[in-house]
Amino acid sequence: MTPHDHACLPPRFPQARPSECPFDPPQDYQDWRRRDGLQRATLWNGSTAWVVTRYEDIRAVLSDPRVSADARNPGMPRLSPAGEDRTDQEPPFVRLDDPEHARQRRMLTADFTAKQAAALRPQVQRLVDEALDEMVRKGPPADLLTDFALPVPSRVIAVLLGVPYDDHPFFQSCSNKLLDMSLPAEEVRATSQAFGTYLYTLVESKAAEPGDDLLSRLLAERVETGELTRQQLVSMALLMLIAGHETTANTIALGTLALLRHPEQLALLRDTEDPAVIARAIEELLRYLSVVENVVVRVAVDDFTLAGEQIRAGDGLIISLPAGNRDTALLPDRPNALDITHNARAHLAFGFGVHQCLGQNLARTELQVAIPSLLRRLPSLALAVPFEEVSFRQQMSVYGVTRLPVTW
Amino acid sequence: MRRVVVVGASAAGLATAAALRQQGFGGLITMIGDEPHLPYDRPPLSKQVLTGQWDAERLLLRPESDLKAMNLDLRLGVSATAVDRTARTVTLAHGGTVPYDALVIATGVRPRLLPGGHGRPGVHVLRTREDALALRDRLGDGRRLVIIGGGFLGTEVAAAARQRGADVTIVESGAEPLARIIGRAAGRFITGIHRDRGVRILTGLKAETFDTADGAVTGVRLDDGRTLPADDVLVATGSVPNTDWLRGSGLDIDDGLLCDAHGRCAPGIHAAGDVARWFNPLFGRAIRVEHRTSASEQGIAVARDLLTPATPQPAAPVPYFWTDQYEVKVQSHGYLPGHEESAVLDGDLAEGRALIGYRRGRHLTGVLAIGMPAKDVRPWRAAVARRTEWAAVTSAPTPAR
Ligand SMILES: Cc1cc2nc3c(=O)[nH]c(=O)nc-3n(C[C@H](O)[C@H](O)[C@H](O)COP(=O)(O)OP(=O)(O)OC[C@H]3O[C@@H](n4cnc5c(N)ncnc54)[C@H](O)[C@@H]3O)c2cc1C
Ligand code: HEM
Repeated sequence: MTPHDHACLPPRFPQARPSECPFDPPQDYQDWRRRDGLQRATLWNGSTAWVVTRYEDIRAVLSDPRVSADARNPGMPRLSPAGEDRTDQEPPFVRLDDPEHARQRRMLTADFTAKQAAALRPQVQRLVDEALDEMVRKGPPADLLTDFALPVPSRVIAVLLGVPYDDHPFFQSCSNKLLDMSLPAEEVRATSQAFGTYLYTLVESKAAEPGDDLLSRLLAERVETGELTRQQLVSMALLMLIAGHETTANTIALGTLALLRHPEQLALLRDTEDPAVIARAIEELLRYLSVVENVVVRVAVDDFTLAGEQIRAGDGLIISLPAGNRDTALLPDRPNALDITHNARAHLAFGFGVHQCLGQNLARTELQVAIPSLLRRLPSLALAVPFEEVSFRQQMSVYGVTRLPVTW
Repeated sequence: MRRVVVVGASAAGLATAAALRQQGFGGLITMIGDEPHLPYDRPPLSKQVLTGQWDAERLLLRPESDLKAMNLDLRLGVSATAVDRTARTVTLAHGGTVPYDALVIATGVRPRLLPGGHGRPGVHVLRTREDALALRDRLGDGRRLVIIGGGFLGTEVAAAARQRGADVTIVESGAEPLARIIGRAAGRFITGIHRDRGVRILTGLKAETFDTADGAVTGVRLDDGRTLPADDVLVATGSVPNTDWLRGSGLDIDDGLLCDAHGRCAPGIHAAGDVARWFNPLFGRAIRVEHRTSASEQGIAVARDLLTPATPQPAAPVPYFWTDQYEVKVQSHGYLPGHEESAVLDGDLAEGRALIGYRRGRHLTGVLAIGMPAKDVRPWRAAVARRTEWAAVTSAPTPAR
């Protein structure tokens, strides 16, 4: 069934990226962006919401005080059966509005500044080198996703938070399920609860054996002072653990694949030592790939007009970052092409407004170290299967590849 | 081991159950708690709840659905009244019994009462959610609160009550509030903060009886003959382990359940939390600590010992507690009661920022930090854990990392 089968029903959301060019946003989204007005779309449960695809509209929505991110607001679009139907606990701060969102976020900002990220660079480099050593030692072929792209950011966030890396099979499988939109609500709920029990026990054990890590500090400095409840700390930890590795991992794997498809750009990036060139290339990859695909949703809490449409309080709004990042308003020159010399710095891959990614400096450091190190260490890196056989993460909140067999 | 029964559904009991599940235990876990509430956190009761910043919902340790997902046989509002160690059963108040393969006792403590007066309007203790809400609702501008007992609980409540505008008097039988635990200098410092905020502090005096009119309290009579008029009285004179239900069980319940360094108190029986007196190799004796952190630490250690009894890992934890006195945060690592000497090792009490060390025997057995960031205190915790010689810390008072 195609989205247009029912003339009366608005098209479906989400849709799949085109198999001919799996880096591009779904074709419909690109069309909607070019048309006037805003598109309405039908979700899995038959409800409808506006889809915002234009660069300027997205920035307007994400900085409008009449728009709420609070998951408890009626009308908030639910992109999948599991879509946050927990009513018995406060959502994590990414799904809260100011002032409570700002209050919690401020407790973390000092740990995620550009300066902090720069200070972590040697440590990130060491973890990258270790992962590469290990992959090389095992020899080709390798799955770049599980042998490199996932371990690097998981280790980094585990060290920062103070989560034992030995537990990574558990927390990775939990994150994966929590981002999987095809799973039944019960399974996602059970996963989030098991993850919660894990983090609760971890936080409780931190109290007894405090380390020099973020969770220990938050416990001593925020929970014991009554600024955070234990539950808030657990959901904060869960948010950072998931947000902190899936996104970066998928950008590394998908980015490597995109570069392998554009060998001249790969060579350009591999052969430069210039940090400015590298930084620019990473911004372009972030923009071009926009892996945060089915995550950013909002609801209007007041009436207003957007792109000539009347939005009413209670209307759901879905933000398509991949579509917005291909808008000529961001990049007049060939927005659908990957060009690591593009100046893409104003992209939307990290979102926009008060919820703009807390971990963006860290993510940049990880990407700027991981991708060039990989290309330099393995100059003969190549896909180990035909491109057509690479399978992509469909029906996931964060886009990427499911495996990436490579050789060298 | 197929069936674990946990008696006491609070910090220590829940930590045990959560750690058992987290470590893969698939058997039955029955958790019996006499309070009618889901497990909740107590430290905020004398802080954010009394000041009115938090409502009681925020105290929950885990959301209800997450508890359900832990697949617990949760029996709330039911007390355990006896244990039969031969049959391995726990008897419940309404008559039923619950069989166990392993029993974990985490029944905590209750406030020590003064003879007469309790149960009258205006006479309070503070241990439960109900206690805190009842006291919160009575505090307010100009209301007269007399606190009997100048320990951590009494002083925290004084701070919260002052923030609510109440008129507060602390009656302390010792020479200085808190002095018995943290020494005179530190006690005097904290007392000073309270005096500056207008708390009246009477020392060396004992409360003898309550004055009442129409059944409600109107004042407290002291052993020097004086009467302190009061709208409310909080009795905060320490606590008693909840071990009455274990009388006749043959367990050693003299000041809490005596346990070894794994929390074992008898074959098939462990204890954790405020009710437990664990042997701690670091101090060479069994100590009972009423600290929030120890409750979860011991609960987690008990779960580990239940699941891998063949590879016991004796715990030598450094006890930790914190208390908020107005905006001053006080933290302590180690075991302070019964110390023989104390000295300021860093900072200066006059500046409101100090680290005080405590000696018992030849070693540094505890530290107390006043107004110091947690990260500056952590090396001192390590120094206690290493059983550093007192002579070493007093001569070169910066602990090596
Ligand atoms: C007001 C207040 C403030 C505090 N502030 C601090 C602080 O700032 N820092 C700090 O470190 N610690 C603090 N504490 C201490 C901390 O809360 C305790 O150490 C902790 O709650 C101990 O947990 P527990 O599970 O061992 O016992 P408890 O929390 O006492 O739980 C025991 C449970 O068992 C139940 N029970 C008892 N007998 C039976 C029975 N026979 N059958 C069934 N159930 C039974 C009890 O009703 C209770 O629910 C504070 C305590 C209070 C009351
Ligand atoms: C390539 C990597 C990453 C991408 C593309 C990315 C993208 C995003 C986006 C789009 C949002 C906004 C969500 C919204 O508005 O609803 C966001 C928020 C967030 N991200 Fe990231 N992220 C990345 C890496 C990280 C890392 C490494 C962390 C580390 C902790 C992190 C932590 C967070 C947090 C905590 C938020 C919520 C911020 C708030 O609500 O204030 N992210 N991220």
